[in-house]
Amino acid sequence: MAKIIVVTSGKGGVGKTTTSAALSTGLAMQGYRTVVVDFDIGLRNLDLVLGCERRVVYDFINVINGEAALHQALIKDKHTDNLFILPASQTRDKDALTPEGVAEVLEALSREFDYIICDSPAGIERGALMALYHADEAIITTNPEVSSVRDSDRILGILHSKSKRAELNLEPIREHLLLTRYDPARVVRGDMLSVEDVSDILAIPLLGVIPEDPAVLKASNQGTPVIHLADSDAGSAYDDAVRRLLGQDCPMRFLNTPRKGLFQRLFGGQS
Amino acid sequence: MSLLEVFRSKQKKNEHNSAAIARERLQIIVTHERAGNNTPDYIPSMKQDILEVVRKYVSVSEEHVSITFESQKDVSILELNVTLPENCSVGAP
Amino acid sequence: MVTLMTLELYRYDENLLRQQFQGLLANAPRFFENTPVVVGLEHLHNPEDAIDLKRLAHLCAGFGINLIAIRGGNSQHRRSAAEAGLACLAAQPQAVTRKLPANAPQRNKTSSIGKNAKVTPIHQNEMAFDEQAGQQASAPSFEEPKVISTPVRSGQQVYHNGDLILTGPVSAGAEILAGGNIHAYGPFRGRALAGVNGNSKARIFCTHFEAELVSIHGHYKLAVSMDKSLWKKAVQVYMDQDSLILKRL
Repeated sequence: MAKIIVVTSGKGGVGKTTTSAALSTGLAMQGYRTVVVDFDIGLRNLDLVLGCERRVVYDFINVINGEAALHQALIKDKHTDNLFILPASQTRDKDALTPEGVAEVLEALSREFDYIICDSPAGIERGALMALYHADEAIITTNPEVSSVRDSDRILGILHSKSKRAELNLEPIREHLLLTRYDPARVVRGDMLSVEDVSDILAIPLLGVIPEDPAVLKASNQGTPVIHLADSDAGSAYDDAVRRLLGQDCPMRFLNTPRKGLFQRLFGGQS
Repeated sequence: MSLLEVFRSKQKKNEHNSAAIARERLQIIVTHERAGNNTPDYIPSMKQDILEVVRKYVSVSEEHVSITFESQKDVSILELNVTLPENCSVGAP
Repeated sequence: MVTLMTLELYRYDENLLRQQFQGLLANAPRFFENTPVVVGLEHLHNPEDAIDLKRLAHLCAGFGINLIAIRGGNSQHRRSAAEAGLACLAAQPQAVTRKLPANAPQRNKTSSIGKNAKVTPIHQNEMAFDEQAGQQASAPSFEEPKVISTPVRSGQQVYHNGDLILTGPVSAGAEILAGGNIHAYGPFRGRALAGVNGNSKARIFCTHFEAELVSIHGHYKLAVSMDKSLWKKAVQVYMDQDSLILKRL
């Protein structure tokens, strides 16, 4: 049985898709058979971040409607062994995502994979609810910024009331906080909420802090998940987060350190 | 040119490269999707079938087959484009 | 078994009822929201009072309350109910109905933290009613205290007609409504409304006070008009005469 992890946030643009791509790649690199499912029906993006947009033939909705078999729609990632992508439909709308259909597809995937990463759309409507419904664990992607924190709090409430685990009164979903676009320099100046501020308000365990890093944009331009840019700060921070997700003890980095100086870059200094 | 500039310009060039890649990728995908807006649902599976037929004779990958569907007033044009690789032996099954 | 809300009638006085509904809905606008309601007639002060149930049903409908049946009552009541299209349920045995003194929420009854005090998951935008949750029209009566040990998040609403004890954090944008007192042991950043069913003796106790709004019996105060020295401190809120008092504990 696969472990189902939803990457969610409530707010848009905080890095859910970047995170889904990085974490699923990281899990696959650790040898786990991993599939990442795009729930953002009508606004497909995950394929672009993973660089497989030209290989999409069938999608999630085709599988739900019985127009294609699951193995026809699954795209094998070019960069990473063990990683598969189930793309969203770009032409249909979110109503095509039926509860029964989603349950069936996830059940079928669950038999073949170790991890299923569900990339949630923004908002708290159907697509987002479907993405979180079956989750065993949730990664709450949050920017250190007031509206993102409040939206994350809202989504935590929804995890507690509208997920399958809540409805069936099972053990609650394991929640992880992933702080993205973190800029320690601005925190020091008092212009940005700190890790402590956000953890204190949301009161869930911290999985990782991803620093603001131009490598993220560069990676998405190229269609490679940022975790492959191993010498980038964001890539290393995602790699750490994957290890923590797998239960390894891994100290937090990029919390206080100023940006690497030119000389550190030149001589490969690790922070 | 100082040492610093060497690194700066190198970095700049790399970033430019990634932006160029992004532009190219988007051009392809956007054209593809604009064309696909009014495309009937059977196009992807037809593309798959055509690809399989072509593959019986020539080894081509998916990227080498393009199908466009255009509607103008009361005429619909289905355009099929197969790029055959060089030195392929056409006709040999 | 279906859980139904009960409206216990002590006196049939339309004006008084209307006033009480208005008061209740002003504090908790979503209180009824088309919930099926049973009218309990076992506790009428004068059991021979004639009641026109058609009029009563109409009055209730005006507040979004759907009467579906009466419980107990005499033959006149049952006849009138039949004419109004309401079902008649048998009277409830005395032991089941809880009749508590008016100052019930202040009592300290730890011995019976059993079924009603069990920790139940809170549902999104949903009012939690325990079985037999009696909404009494003429005199407030309270349920056992209820303990919530999960965090209450933004957008969630918790209602309990009795004391509410919160051990986890309450986020900004969450709303806590209690018929009795509110006790919060985690950081409290949401809205606290105590005594929502007309009990001005209700109090709010917070160990870590950052509330957006506090209210007792409809008298409220917003964070902007609160004394900043109370922030993040242990605070209690109560009514003195007609004013709302916030004080360090």
